[in-house]
Amino acid sequence: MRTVKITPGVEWSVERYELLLRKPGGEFDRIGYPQAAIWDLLSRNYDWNETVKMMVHIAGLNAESAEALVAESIQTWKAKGLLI
Amino acid sequence: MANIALNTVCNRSCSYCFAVNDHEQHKQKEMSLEEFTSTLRWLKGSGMKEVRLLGGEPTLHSRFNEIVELVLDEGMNALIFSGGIIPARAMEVLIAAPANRLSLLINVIRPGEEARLEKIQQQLFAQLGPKIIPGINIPVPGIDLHFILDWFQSYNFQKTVRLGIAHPIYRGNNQFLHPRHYREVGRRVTEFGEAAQARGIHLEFDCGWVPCMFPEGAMSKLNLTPNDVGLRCNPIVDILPGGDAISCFALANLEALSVREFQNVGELRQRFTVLQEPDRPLTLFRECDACAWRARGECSGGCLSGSLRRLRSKNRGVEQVDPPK
Repeated sequence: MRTVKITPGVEWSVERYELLLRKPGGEFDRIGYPQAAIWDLLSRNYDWNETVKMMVHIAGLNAESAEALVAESIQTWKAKGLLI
Repeated sequence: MANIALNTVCNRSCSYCFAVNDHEQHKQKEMSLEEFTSTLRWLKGSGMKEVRLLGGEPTLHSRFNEIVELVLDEGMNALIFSGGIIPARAMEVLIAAPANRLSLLINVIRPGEEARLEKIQQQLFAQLGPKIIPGINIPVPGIDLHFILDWFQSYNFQKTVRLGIAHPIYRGNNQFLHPRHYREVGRRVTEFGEAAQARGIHLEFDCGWVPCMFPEGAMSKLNLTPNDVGLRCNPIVDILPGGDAISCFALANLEALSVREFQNVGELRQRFTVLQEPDRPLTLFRECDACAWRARGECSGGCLSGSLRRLRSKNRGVEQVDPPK
């Protein structure tokens, strides 16, 4: 089974309405909610099933939509170099 | 504005001191007289009328008296940042210097803070009172500042008190005032400020104060503008004993630049500003992105070093399992 990791050197701060992410090169990116919650869960070592389950509750989604949101978010962040 | 750190040795050991860092040039114990002379002329060439000397404890520099005389001979004024435990030989030049040319910003020992040194500092106040601006650093909440008010009368201090928040050193480990205590400090400072104003004493704020820490209406009561609090996190430029410059002591571990590569202090400050620009989206509080002061451009979000502390990282190797295929 493949895994993803937060790219070494990526740092972030939790703001009221978003997450601010600083890439190793100093460039900033922003993640709004509810996707910011996925990032937070990911950083806390939640596995796939736990993350989806939590997103059902946090974002008020059904399991299928929550799974799609998590998958899409991970894909986007990988494409941006935030995850490897 | 720029400061020259003459040395790194100090005869106090304040837990919140941010003039302690790992920068290689800051390991040099004191600035040579040659280095000082050339830095002084560079600052003068930058249009500066006042030289701010700090340390360590600058009065412990082996050639402190010559340094002060050099400053005065160049037609510049001197502001000396001191912990207030000053050797006798340095007292000679401080007493002799005209009061309109030299001032001391003394980091005041609060009653009960360092009993051993309190009396020594009080003797200094008695000798140099009219040249002294008292400064109080705030590393913890709950400090009652009112004690200083009577000292203005006792020692004939200049009618200004400078208040500083103890900020964290970026990647350092000094004691600092945690932002969660800012509001309490703001409330106490407001009470103190009203009492000070009633005695004709002016409050001067060091860097990193933010408007949201003060109770509603306090800013106008204390005649504070965003330039006093809110917009006070900019490169100060501290020149280290070895001749390199840092943006400020709190950010000493971030980057240092060689003074000689810049025409003047304005150019150097501008370079630091550009280097820090990418990090300016960071702020001290998570609520800053919803703050009206910030939206109006009246607050930049507090101390950058404190803001950088909020960054989390994942170097602990957390993994996330990909979705099942």
